[in-house]
Amino acid sequence: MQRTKAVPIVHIPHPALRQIAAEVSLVDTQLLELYNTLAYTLRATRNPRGVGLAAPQIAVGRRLFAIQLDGELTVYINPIITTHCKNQVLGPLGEEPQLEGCLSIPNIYGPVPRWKWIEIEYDTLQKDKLVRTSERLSDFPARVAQHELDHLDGRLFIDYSLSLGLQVYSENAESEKLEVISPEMLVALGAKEI
Amino acid sequence: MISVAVAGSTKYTTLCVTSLASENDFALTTVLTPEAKPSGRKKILQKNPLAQFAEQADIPTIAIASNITNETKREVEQHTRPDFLLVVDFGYWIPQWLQVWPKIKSLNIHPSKLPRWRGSSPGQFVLLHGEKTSAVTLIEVISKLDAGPLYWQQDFTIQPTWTQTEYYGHAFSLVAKQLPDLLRQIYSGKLQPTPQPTDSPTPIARKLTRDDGFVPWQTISDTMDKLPPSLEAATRAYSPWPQLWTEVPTRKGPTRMKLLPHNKVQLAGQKPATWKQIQTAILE
Repeated sequence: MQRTKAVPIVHIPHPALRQIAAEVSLVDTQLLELYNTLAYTLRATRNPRGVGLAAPQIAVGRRLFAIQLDGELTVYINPIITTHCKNQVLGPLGEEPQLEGCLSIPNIYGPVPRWKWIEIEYDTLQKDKLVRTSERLSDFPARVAQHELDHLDGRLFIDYSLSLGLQVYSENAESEKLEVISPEMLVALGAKEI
Repeated sequence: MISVAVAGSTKYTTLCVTSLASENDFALTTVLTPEAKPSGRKKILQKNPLAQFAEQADIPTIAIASNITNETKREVEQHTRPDFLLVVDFGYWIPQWLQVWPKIKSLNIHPSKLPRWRGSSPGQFVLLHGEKTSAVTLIEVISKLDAGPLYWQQDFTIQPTWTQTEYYGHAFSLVAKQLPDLLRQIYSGKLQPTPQPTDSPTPIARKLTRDDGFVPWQTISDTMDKLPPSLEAATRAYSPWPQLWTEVPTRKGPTRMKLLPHNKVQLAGQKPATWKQIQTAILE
């Protein structure tokens, strides 16, 4: 068997990032390979280290993503949000907005409104079967999951920035300070109104 | 004789005014224009194109220092009331007393398909958004920005190679040709305005700044061989100013690089070149 390798993460304006990914219905070698590659590629990310990676980000239009938090990696297949809290937040209550970034949009960061908690239903891979399970996520893990879920629907975080007029920043390599990017630049980068 | 006062500054104002000046039934009575500002690298005090035109044509001129004030009002009131006040690229908000100063109307030429893209930079925004068609519009000046009743609008097609220069050049040459006739028709009451919708379907085409053209290098470095259509549009929309630009790592440290229209790039202090020609100067 071939060894799993990390594959390139595609960047905007790659069209794969704008397509709606298809359900996973069958466990075959192709899916197993994708599952392993996705997990391996996420683990291999450095500077910045990714917390989540969705299949469209490696140019595969399937509904699955991986999340790694505190060294633990989970793959979510065919995920859907079944319940969520009432209000969206930009970050933990009483704190500065939590800026999101994306491995497919290097060096750009911005606040995004997300549900504080969600219940997510998804398939896990057990031997060669898909087994449906559910989980409640809150705070940062909930934010990551919502960001990754958006990828499966061809949506990027900069779409929220553009539609809601939220500020977007880039990190100055020298000073490590965040500099504001103009809203018009989002249009140039392919952000879409939601 | 139809008397016209003009408020403006640029070569586009001058284009419109020249078109009126060449007709026998028009008299240009007053020019309102911003005072000469130091411009260019050597900071030479330079008169704007309209002020130069006014000087040559010997039209009484009111120079505006930094804002329209009571001083301006006193000066304006010493001039004879014209039939029309024509506002083109003026850069100042027109106060109520100035709106009603002319006997017939204060008019403004706005190079967009109003109510789309109100604001000072319509061409930049039309090009940035990759729109295929636009228009040039003649409206009445009211207090709400670019929202006055509409007299005339002419559509045009945008060529895919256009920068701001071609966009504005085309829009203003279209209206300049028609302007004498339009003013005659408004003068005689033959041309009546129709109201504009209160709200614009687009954001305000705000004035851009140098930093608006900045894009982080990491975000675009993958796509330099062939820019995606939206970024290519930005190279034209931001040309000649503020220009799409980034900062690239070179042996001399971070260096500003402009992304020019028509697949050209320009490193600070160098001539425009193709990406292939300068690619090796960039580290990583």
